[in-house]
Amino acid sequence: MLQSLIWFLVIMIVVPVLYLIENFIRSMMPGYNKSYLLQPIYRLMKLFGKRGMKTNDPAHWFSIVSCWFAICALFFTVRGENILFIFTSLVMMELFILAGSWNAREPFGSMAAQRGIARFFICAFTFMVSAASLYQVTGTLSLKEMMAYSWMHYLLLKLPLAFLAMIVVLLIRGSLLFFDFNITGKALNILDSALYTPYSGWSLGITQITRWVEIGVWLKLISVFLPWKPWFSFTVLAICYLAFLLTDGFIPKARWKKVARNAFLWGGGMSVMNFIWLYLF
Amino acid sequence: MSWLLNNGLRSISILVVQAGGCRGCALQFSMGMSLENEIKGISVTGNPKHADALLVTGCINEKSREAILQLYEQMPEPKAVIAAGACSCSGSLFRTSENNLYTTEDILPVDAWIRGCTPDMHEMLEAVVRAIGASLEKEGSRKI
Amino acid sequence: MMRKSWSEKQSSSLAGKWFTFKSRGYNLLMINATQAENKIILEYILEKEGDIEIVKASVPPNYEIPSVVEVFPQGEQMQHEITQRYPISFFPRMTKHPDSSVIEWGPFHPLLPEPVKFRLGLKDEVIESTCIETGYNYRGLEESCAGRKAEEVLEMLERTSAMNGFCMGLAFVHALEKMHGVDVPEKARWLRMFLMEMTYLHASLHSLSHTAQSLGLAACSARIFKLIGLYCEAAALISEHPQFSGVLEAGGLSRDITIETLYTVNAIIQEMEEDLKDIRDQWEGTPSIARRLKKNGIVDDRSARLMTGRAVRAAGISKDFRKDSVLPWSKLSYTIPQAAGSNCFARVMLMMEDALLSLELIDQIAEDMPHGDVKSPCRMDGSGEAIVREPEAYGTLALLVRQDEGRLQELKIRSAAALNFPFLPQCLEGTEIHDLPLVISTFELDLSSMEK
Repeated sequence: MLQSLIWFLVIMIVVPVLYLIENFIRSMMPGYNKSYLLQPIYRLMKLFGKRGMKTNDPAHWFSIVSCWFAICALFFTVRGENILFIFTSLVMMELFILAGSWNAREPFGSMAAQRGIARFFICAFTFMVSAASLYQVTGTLSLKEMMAYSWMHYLLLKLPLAFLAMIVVLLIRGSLLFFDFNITGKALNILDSALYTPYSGWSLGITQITRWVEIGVWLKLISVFLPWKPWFSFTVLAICYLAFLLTDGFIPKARWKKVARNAFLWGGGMSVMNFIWLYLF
Repeated sequence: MSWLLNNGLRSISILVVQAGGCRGCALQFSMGMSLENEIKGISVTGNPKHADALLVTGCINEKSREAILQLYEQMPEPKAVIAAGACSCSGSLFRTSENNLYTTEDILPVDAWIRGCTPDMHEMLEAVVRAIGASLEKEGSRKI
Repeated sequence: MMRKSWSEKQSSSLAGKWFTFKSRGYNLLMINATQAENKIILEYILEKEGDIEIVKASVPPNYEIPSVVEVFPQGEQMQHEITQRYPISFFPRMTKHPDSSVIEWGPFHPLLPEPVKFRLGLKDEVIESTCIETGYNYRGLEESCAGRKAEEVLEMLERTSAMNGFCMGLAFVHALEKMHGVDVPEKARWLRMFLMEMTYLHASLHSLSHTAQSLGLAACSARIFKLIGLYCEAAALISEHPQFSGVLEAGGLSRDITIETLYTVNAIIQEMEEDLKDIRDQWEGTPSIARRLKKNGIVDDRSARLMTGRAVRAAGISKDFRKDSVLPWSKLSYTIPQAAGSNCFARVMLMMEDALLSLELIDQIAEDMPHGDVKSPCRMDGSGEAIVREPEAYGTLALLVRQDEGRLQELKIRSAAALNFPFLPQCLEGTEIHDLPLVISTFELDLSSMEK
């Protein structure tokens, strides 16, 4: 239990730190907005000091429920629980954010929710097929047992494509590189952070925390594939994620339908191929 | 609570509203955002619900007045308004009795003014921080 | 209010005149409206290679007359401005009311260059129809200028648009000089040309940064802003105002710019060349960028011919708008870039090429700068009328100036944006909503100069 608690705290800290580092390095580049080292934290604190968000009352509460499910997912992950619990919590987390966005009766919020559903389907499909592959190889759905198996038998060698598919899911969830659905990313677009349109003040702060927790869950989940000690695998993935964050500004943003197609082909396709490969060989 | 509020000075989301003007002040502000190294923590947003401050440039006519008031209404408290540039502060050369233009002060409570045509980019960012400081101070005294 | 219609005979007579001029190769330069006792006088100013013809129509208030758009589609925005100021309307109305799901965007957004509201009829995120609502920029500049002295008007015009203020000021000064027969010293003409090229460069860089932002290329946008920073550094050596307000004067310039200053400005400006070429190669060579740009913002050939600026050259039509000016551009050696495809890609590549051309011309002008005075004595207190057509950053602008004993009687501005703007809705049809800012950025709408 203590170890799980430590992992929980480490992940809760590491993901914001990644965003802090990315934000700081980016702000050092010529032409970018300058920011403080702790900028994302200051933003979060500021949001919790806001009041008078009367225009979007019902949507606020969706963010709290969503955050609760994200924390549950992280808790299940660090405990090494059944992967289906984690999946269900992540699904609930996403659905509440989407429902909040839809409820706002703002056209851009609804449009973003529509895209969010497509994103949700692709991620869910990829994750489910990859989970099935994991089960096929390890014979268990318990994350703890999968970790033990990975350590002994080099899971990555048997599931290389499923690993890459999960990386695609990570990029989709982080709205990065070629997998940005233009609904929550930092790059300016017509919708801005449209999925978060109805949220402001503390509820926006909570959605920010939810996002960080969710990225932590994915990093921890994907680290299962790597054949090293858990902390080392997690660190390697965290560094990779930081590299993705930093290169994001150099990649042009594509239409969401194209992104969805790419995401489905790469994420879903690779996970399916790996699954079929397991059956055939 | 005041500690939370004070973080507002280090993270400022600005909604830039360019009313009827030459666009010079808005461009100068974007330049400041990219090239200014001393003042940190300011970012631009397109969503009034995510904004802390409204930076108004240009002369305001009846049509843009309504749009600006709607945006201001959606911003969460504490919020600041900055009048940037001569047109926004006083109407500059364009304000005559016949053409029914407003200054920012005519329609909103302004927290900071940046005069000049075109104002210096450093001064613009400084005024933004000053305005947020003023709005946070007001918020603090409201709580006491 | 109920509008009465003109008689069929009057309507067909006016339309007939337009058709006659159109068949003779004339194009609509601007529409001027004035209100006299109980009637509104419309002047359709038509132009063919410098030859000006005016078709007049006298309309009682609250009447509806035929729209010029059927014959000259580029006149839509000019008519729209008239309907906002005078009790008159035009038929048929061109405004489309979308019947599919409607979404509004604007008037204020970081990706919009200036305040404007788009009401988009969407089907599966593809734009089916567009209604563009303007008027957020309107300042009543033309009315405010009436009765003022030339110097005051010049000061106002220079502040009309951050991109084209200098061009507008220069067009006004040229109109005054033409009216009063002022001979401008050679050095002043060359310096004006230098400042115009600086203005073009500034506008091209801003258009590029807007396009980079619309593409989601944050790093590239930051890089272009660095180049704009270089421009500002150079411009600060000439004037404290980045748009050179206060430098122009009727008869020349208000101050001399030394050759050393020009050399320093040129040296700073030339530092951009490498970066610009690099960005151009990067955009041209990245398939995802090139594909997206090529797929969007396609303007048909017929419309492109009626437009101005890069939109014309992007359709493969060679047209040098600098030749419209009285400034000595003909003494420089250059080739006007043109492109094919009439899409966003062609226009963006022209932005790059035009910026590089401006660098080359700035270099040539600095090298060949003549010596001498920069101002000739002149008096601007006479009366007269002049119509001038001058190049501006996004095409050509036309200016009608009427002066009476040193006071401005009437001023009418038709900017490049007013010509291009009416073609935006049809260009947006079939565009995905995601690409809307991209198409807008390549249209380079200078709304502040359009709406005045």
